Amino acid sequence: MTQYDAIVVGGGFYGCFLALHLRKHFKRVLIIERENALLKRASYRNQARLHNGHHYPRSFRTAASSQSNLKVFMQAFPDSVVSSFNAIYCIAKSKSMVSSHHFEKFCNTIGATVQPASEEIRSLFSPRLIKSVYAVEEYAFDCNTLRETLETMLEQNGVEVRTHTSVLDILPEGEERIRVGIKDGSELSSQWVLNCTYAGLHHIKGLKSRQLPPLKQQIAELALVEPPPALKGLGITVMDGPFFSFMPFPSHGLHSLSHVRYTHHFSWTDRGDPESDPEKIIAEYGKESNYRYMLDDAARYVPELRHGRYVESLFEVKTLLPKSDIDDSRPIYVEEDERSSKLLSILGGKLDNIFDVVEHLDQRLGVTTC
Amino acid sequence: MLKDHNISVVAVLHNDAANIDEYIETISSVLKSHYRYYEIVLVDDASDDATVEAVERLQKRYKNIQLYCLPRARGEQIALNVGLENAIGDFVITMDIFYDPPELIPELLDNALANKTETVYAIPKDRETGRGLYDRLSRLFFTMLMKFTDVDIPIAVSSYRLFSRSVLNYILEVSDRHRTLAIAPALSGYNYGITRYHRRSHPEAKKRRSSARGIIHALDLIVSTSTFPLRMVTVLSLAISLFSVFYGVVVVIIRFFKEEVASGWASLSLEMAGLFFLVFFILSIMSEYLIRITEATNKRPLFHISKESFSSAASAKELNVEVENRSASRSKGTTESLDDDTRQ
Repeated sequence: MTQYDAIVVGGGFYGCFLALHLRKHFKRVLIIERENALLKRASYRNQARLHNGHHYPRSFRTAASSQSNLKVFMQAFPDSVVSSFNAIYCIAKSKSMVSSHHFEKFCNTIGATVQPASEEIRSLFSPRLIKSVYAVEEYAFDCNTLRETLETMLEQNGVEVRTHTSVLDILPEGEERIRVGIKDGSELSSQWVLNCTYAGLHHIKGLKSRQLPPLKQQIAELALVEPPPALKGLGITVMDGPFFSFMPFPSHGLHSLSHVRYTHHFSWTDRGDPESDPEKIIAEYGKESNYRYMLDDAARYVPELRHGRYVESLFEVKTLLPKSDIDDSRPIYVEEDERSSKLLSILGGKLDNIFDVVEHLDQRLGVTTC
Repeated sequence: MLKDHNISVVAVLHNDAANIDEYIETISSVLKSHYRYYEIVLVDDASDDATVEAVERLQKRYKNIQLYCLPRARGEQIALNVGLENAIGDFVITMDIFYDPPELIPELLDNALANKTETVYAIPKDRETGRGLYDRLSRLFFTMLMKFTDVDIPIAVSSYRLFSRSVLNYILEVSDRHRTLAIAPALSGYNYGITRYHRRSHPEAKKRRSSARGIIHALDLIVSTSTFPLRMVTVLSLAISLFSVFYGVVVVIIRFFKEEVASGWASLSLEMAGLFFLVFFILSIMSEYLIRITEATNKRPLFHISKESFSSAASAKELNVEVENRSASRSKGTTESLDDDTRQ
């Protein structure tokens, strides 16, 4: 039985980042990833937006933490940050939950940049449906660059990575060791185990959480569109209601189109029973694209989008803690196993929340090393 | 095979809880069996019964049902406008789900596609030949409207119709569209087709339309689309003022050539003729100005461009080659930009 100090289950952005962090405290750290490479799933199949606060006019706390986390992220991964586009936020005339006035005031309060967009940009939007258009400072990330950066860092720091295999079961043995059985038949033993499997959080055999929170799982579709020339250098977000975002998707050189009404195909509550395993559900789902609805509706607001060419869609499970359903915030969730305080399940809604998790984890590590 | 058009069906609900399940089921199954992309946009005009709850239940079973609720009953026309503003389809169909058979939807679209028309009116056969008061009044109204205005619309038209995104875009530019919706597609000037159909018969049909409300709606339509009544005022006033001048002349002639004229009659009559002339002359001038003001305050777009094309004739002649049209050069631009992207 191979001995480790820490095993991280799930090689997404969270898993990789936490593994690197754990390596500062421990000698032997391992990442286990089911896909054939790191950062292939939810870290990759998302809007690639680096939040800078503007997106959360209804949650000051989330907005503020987005801003501070963005700074840290940009320092940590400068090469992955894509800033070569103009980020545009629009307030819709009807159905928006924030008014232009509120949005401006909100941005000024949190110190986020907000300026009326130029006449040229404003003319791209339907004056009948869009009330105001703002140029803001917001970035995207290139997941391919991020993967390369992380792979290099993991290698340099001597973190072991096993891809294309998954964990069969986890069993705490006494207070000190946790046994991890993996798919190729081998058995590992570790002092710490972090479950960073996002959507699959409840579906590792042998986990026993004290209070298992029901997760809201959604099948989300991201339509990839070749932007018409007029929209090439723009990232467009229409606020704040049943609208859409048209953001650069750097890893494909395309734009991603997501729509509040059509991106979410369906959702279910996941309490850990095998029938609600997201991996099984997304594999069996027919994945009929909603791109046409997204494009047709978005083109009403931005007529140039009629000339956008649909390329393909990425489907992924999006996981939310039930709470964020209500107040639009994205809190992090860290839960220890019933039998071992060193077996942790970790869920964070957004990429840049990772720094909050690290802070939290340090407290736990500090407690045990004392 | 499923058609690739995106179809929006827009309908107004008012206390329809009892029938809504059947409506939606039929509409959904018709749409599903013909189109790959479709949606149903429902507007609840402040129902008192459980219509909204019923629709919310249906939203769990059927896909792409948008529901908008009005807190206060605003009438079918305004409610319909709410639906139109939120419809996303290439073609929009408005219907009264109580009377209009959804089975006709594919026929309406086929008609539009086959004849390349932007609007298709579904004409209920009973409206065309019906002897009821509502049917007669409706026919009379549209006949009059055609005479008064230059609106070209079938006489027995109902609210069951299909129009394209271009027509919808025009309608949404019209500021008094809540009054003119019935003839708005006709105002756009796009060509139209018609399809005849039988309304669904409801033995226990509640009366959804009253003649009184119909007459008010008709007056609304005439006043907001036509300055004809005002022109009539001008003409009539001018006629009366001219008559007053003539009357004054007659009074003068009588005064001098007829004996036995009662004293005071001539001056009194002249005064009256003069005043009538002034009053009606002023009225005719004012009515002409009123027409201008009405036209100026009416925010309807002056014109609507239905198609645009471009040809750089000069260079084509010089080069003696066929010039790419604008859309072709646009798509070329797009592929170039893709190359830029893939190079990155």
